[in-house]
Amino acid sequence: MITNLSKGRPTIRKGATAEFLGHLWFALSALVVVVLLVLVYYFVGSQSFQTFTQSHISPADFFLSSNWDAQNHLGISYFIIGSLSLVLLSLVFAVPISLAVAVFISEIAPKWLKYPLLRAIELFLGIPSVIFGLFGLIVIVPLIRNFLNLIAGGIFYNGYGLVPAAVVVTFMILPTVATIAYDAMQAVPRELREGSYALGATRRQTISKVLIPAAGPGIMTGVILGIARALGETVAVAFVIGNSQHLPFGLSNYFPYLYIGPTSALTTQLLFNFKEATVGSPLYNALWTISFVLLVISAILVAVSRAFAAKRIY
Amino acid sequence: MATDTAKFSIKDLDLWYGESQALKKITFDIQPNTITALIGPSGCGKSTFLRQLNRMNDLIDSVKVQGSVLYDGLDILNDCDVIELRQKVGMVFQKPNPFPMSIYDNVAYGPRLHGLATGKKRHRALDEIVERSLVHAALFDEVKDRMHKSALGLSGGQQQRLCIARVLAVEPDVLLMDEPTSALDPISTAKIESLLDDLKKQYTIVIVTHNMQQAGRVSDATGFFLTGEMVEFGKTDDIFFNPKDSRTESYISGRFG
Amino acid sequence: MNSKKAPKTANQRHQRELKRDQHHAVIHWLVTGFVLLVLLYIIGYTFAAGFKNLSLNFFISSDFDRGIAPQLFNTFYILILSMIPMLLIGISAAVYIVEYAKQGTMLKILRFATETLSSVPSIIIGLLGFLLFVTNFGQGPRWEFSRLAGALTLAILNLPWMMRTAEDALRAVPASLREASYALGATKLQTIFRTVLPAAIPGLMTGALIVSGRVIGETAALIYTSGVAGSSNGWFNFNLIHVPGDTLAVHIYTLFADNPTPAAQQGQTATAVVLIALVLGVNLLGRFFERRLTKRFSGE
Repeated sequence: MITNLSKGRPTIRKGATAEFLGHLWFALSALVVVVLLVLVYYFVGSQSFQTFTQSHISPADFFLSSNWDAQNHLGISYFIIGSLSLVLLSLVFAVPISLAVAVFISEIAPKWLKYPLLRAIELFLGIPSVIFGLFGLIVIVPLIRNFLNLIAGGIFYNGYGLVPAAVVVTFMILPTVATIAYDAMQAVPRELREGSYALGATRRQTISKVLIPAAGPGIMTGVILGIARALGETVAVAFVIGNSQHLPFGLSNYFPYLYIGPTSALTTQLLFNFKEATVGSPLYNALWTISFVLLVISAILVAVSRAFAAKRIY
Repeated sequence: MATDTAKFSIKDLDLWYGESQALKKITFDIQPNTITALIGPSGCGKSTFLRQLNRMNDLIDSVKVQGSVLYDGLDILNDCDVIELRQKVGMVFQKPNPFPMSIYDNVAYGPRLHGLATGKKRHRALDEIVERSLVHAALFDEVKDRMHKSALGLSGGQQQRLCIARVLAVEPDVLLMDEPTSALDPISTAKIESLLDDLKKQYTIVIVTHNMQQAGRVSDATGFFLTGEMVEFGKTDDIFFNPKDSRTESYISGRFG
Repeated sequence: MNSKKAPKTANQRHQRELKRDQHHAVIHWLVTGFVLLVLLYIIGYTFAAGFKNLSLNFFISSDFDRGIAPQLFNTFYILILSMIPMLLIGISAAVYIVEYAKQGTMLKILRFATETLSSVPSIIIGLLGFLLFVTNFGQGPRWEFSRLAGALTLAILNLPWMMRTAEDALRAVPASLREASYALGATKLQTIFRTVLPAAIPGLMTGALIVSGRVIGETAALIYTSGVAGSSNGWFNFNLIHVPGDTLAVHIYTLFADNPTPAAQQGQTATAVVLIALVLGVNLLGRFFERRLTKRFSGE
């Protein structure tokens, strides 16, 4: 259409080059994130296989053995158990509490309280993990130590381990899960709530039988994000988990007959051991394998979260 | 019309959304086993009025109400348990709002809430309630083979009849309908209209409608609302063919709204 | 469905439901109140413990146990170094996603990549940073533990977040503005630079500030890239690749990891106060721009 106009007007052609270069620059910038993702997987992946190819550790032994000795033998099963139990216990605490907070803000809180509360919860999204770790170290650990020793009637527990780690992680992921759950509940149309109330349902019945099921897939994406953060959290957990090569829990001779002492997660092992690993040593390779395990689990979590997101109705 | 036989007796009902008054001194009676249509232009307060009869307006924070609404002689604005009231006074909404669950569970929702199916054979009893309600809402034949499929897969008209069945399942006494056919195609609308005639034998029906032909076709009595006031209330034939108020006449003849 | 003590009459059942409804509301008030109290307690406790250890000397001393001058400098230096590439690439990528990309495979790949990259634990991005920047892919040294290594690692870690917030900011610009620009004969590039980006500035500021908060607070990704060393001497220089630099957040971790002495614990809580104040300040500033943005487009 503008060919007639553009004839004899070289500015347009100059502009066309600029348009092309602009397009190219923006497209290349967008590709950076793809390149970075490939880099992460390529480097972590290729390094991680050297545990089995270069250091000749059998995969079965590596994943199933519980003996972790930087010089002689490398088995990570206790750390896997540590990480999984940390995630599970954190979820047991965090999911009901986050849901309650989300339900409160979305359905129960009086109007004047809603938005201040939401803003307050959102502010905690930004608090650095090292602050949560420090708080765990100077408040939660002594609290749990005193409490357990009071129950057991002596000094048997130093307070470090799975429980304080799960408490710290709970308060870290709670704002995330609660705000996403809140958004999911807000997306449920008002008509659905009215339909339930009009049938003579109480608010409790409407929330538990209509609202939460309807918001379910959206809530689940929040929970999955919480799992991913709990699994990947390093520093806050390192402050309180105790960093020992033991199972997170076990039997004890003393009341309450359950040992919940110092243990480790996959991430804290990375943090504490990497400085000691010389490049190319079995320990160094093993740490990359641990990283790869974490990477694969987070990728699976992303996939699950996307599946839930696709199931969202509202 | 004598007040003591009325299903609803409304007297001097005022309603405010915050500062703005949405209903002004509404006064009239609704007779049992009739269909009462409420007509008027958008924003005239007819839906707000309807939502006051089962106190759905309670869900809106800023609403303030004055006056009295008697339901079977009971003052439902002050001396009443809303939860119980809403079981007796069911409501069908403008947009079909099935819950995101199976057809069966949608209909069974109310009976389960209120424990309507009890005893040893409560599963059988619940099945019967669901079937009866669906039959009554003229939907059973269309859905009997997919009772446990999601209700969101139904067409708009089917969804609306499901919502009617869902209300019938809690064994109400009154049906409030807020423009129940405005989101539907003409065939679905016709199905629901013929259903109404059948339902009125058992229930008292109050229907808000935009569609004046619909009001004329289905209702026994009609009330005309304008800017929060009830301009005129009477037998449908009188309202349509013999309006007393000039504003009613203008509206009926299509001059505004 | 029915509990063991099933009520006999409809009225009993009804009364039970009303009771339950009340309990339900009370429980939710209590739980939310408890959560808010704990979260406030975390901040309040840290402030109460750390505030008394703050002094002017604490801000200007470079002694490991007694001051945070090097850490303050490193925090801001690394923040600026990481924000430059992140803003440039992040905003450009968001421009591509919002203004150029069509619904389809390319957009799907980009979504998948940003989501997956943002789910990678930060310690792993830190180890990757070590591999890429501190060592030469693990084959001998490249740079040393250095502030540039830390900054680039943080840029990788937060790029997905920067892209997401920038995308939100660009999408908040009304389509009518773009149409108006095209209708005046502007090219796409002119529309982007003269209309869309200027209009998105408050939103982009919000995004940049929220990401800054994450950069300031990050610890795990820095421990093996910019290092944990707080060199007491010669920290005030802009050397990019030969001088390690611990940030405030890393400092709190280091004080913990190096066998905490009472002096170190005082330093920890005092540093924590400064860190919380910085992060909250940055986030509140972000919210301020967010409000300005809403006002601008809603015309209030």
